[in-house]
Amino acid sequence: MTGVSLCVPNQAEYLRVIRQIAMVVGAKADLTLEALDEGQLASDEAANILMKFAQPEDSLYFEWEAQPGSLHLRSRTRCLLPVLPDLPETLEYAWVIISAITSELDIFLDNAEVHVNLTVTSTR
Amino acid sequence: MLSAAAVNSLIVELRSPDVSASRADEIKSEIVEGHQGLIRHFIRLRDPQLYEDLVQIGTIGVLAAVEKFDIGRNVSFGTFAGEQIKGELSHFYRDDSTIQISRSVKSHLSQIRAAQDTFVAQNNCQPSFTQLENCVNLNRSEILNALQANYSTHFSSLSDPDLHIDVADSRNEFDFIDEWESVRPAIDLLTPLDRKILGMRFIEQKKQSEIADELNMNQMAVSRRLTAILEQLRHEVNNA
Repeated sequence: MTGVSLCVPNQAEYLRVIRQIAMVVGAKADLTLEALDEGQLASDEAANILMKFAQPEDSLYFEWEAQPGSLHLRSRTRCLLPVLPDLPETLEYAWVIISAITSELDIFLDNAEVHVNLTVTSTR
Repeated sequence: MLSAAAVNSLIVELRSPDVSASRADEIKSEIVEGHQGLIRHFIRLRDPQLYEDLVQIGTIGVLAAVEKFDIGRNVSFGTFAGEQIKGELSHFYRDDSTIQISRSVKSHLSQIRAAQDTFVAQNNCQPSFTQLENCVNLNRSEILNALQANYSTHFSSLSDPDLHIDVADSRNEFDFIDEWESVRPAIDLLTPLDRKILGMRFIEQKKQSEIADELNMNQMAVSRRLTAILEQLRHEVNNA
């Protein structure tokens, strides 16, 4: 098992770093190239979802874990909302994309933080 | 877009010895404004992160066309300006070192693509990363660097053969799905091929490799197109 943790400011320029780490950890998980690509995309979309809820001064936290054939991401940030809005309606097409590329997806509010946990699995 | 006759008339006025400097600037601005759609047409397949820069480069192309256009020739200004815009964009991509892929990375990418195709042909399934690593004479870092280049330099050359694959337009597929509402204008700007790929992946839920098979492309090419499409959609949403 291989894991990587990352904390970045809530700024779009860090998305490139997030994508690169997702790719390296995905390679450790021995994903196919297609799943590697989708692991990057899913991590990118997770970051974008967190950015929608975070304040400019907040940080975004990510933990990737490689398991044979699958990449797991746990990510979170501070959230001031008492309840999450309807996600498909709020996220629109981003919801369609992240739902399509993940084999598991869980977005929830806990202890004043919004969490986006997901898994991307190689299908050959 | 300005009509060909209107542009010709403006260029005649611009070249008149009596035109003032301020009127000349107005005329150039009017022609540039009137060809924003043409500029967007030529940059739509390129890197969305460089959108503003590319609009500027397209503008330079239109201004060059204003300078060089021969009204007496049997060609419209739009056609001539299109060639100038393409020329300026090609010049930019040749010269801009930040988005060039080195020859060695290009060679690694083609080795990876060939190894992937061979593995799929022999085994009827996609290789895992380790299987791919065993098929190419490259180390893990070289493969990762090449893949990163594949995903991040996803602009398309106008000579990219993938862009000329002929597909039936799937524009209507997106019309009745609420989640695509905010990006529908951006979807309309995509090429028929890109709309087809987007619909196959996210409406028909096909895997990249299935799309590649159906469109006679390589999975990495589908991946590169999807990355570019999604960045373009996000760019449009963020700038709406």
